[in-house]
Amino acid sequence: MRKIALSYLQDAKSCLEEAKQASIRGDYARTVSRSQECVEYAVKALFEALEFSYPFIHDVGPQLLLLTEDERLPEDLRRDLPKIASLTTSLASKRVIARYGNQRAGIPAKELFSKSDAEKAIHDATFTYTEVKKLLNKG
Amino acid sequence: MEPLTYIKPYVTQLIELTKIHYGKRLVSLAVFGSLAKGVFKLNRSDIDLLLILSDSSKNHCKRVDEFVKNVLMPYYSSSEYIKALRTTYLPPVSVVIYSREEARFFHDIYLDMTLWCEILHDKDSFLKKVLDAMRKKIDEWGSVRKEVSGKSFWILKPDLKMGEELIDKTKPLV
Repeated sequence: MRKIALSYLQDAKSCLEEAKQASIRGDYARTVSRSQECVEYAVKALFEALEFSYPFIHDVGPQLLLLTEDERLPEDLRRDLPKIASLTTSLASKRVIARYGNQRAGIPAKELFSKSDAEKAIHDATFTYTEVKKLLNKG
Repeated sequence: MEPLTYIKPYVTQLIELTKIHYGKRLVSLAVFGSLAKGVFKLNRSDIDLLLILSDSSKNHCKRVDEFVKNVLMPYYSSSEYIKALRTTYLPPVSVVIYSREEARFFHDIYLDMTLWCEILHDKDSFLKKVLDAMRKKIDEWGSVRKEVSGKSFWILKPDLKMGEELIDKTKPLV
């Protein structure tokens, strides 16, 4: 397996731990931001492990949909790919606002995310990280 | 094929899905950014959309999640999109969603939109009125748009005095 795949998986794990710490501090915007990074790293770890060429952008949700027929992947993961694609796109769409707030309206990030937003982000990041880790640990 | 010609059917599909999902809640829908400006580059540009809704959750996450679930994922999952993605790069979609009330106030995306904007749906000419009011402000202030190395910025009021407040966030444009 490519070294970079395992490196990205490790980065995803670190981001997830930071997201959980941020949530404990009540810093929900950072929780969402770190959860997004976790998902992006985990998905890119999957692409690297499969040597699948992907664009260097944050939202790689659409590219994940191309793997639903990739027989190298276990069937249960292939079935979950649309869900992972959706949460990848959803978190990527919140990326800028979770970091910088709504610059256009002068609203800081901390005012834009609630505890339940943070909990959902951690849930989605944990799900994605766990799914990719299971696969990479087999490889 | 020219990037603008190539991307047009995908943008059309995205617009249709947006109109279908939001229905009567959709006040205004516009394309802005490089696509509206006519300088769209397939490998470097986003598809920038502005949505103004009659009722929109105050929670930013919920707004985005609704758009991703009901518009973006059906768009990304369509057979035409998947087929194209297998052979080429398709640009990401970047969306700004405002409620009608929020959209009445100054937002800096309106600045470039006074110059380049394709309005695709506009109930009671709401967005047109907002952009007309923005143009009036720009004239009053003597605003200048500058472009340096492909990056742009606005000097809103060249003779602005230190401490002078230019934008009153309590006063709507319309």
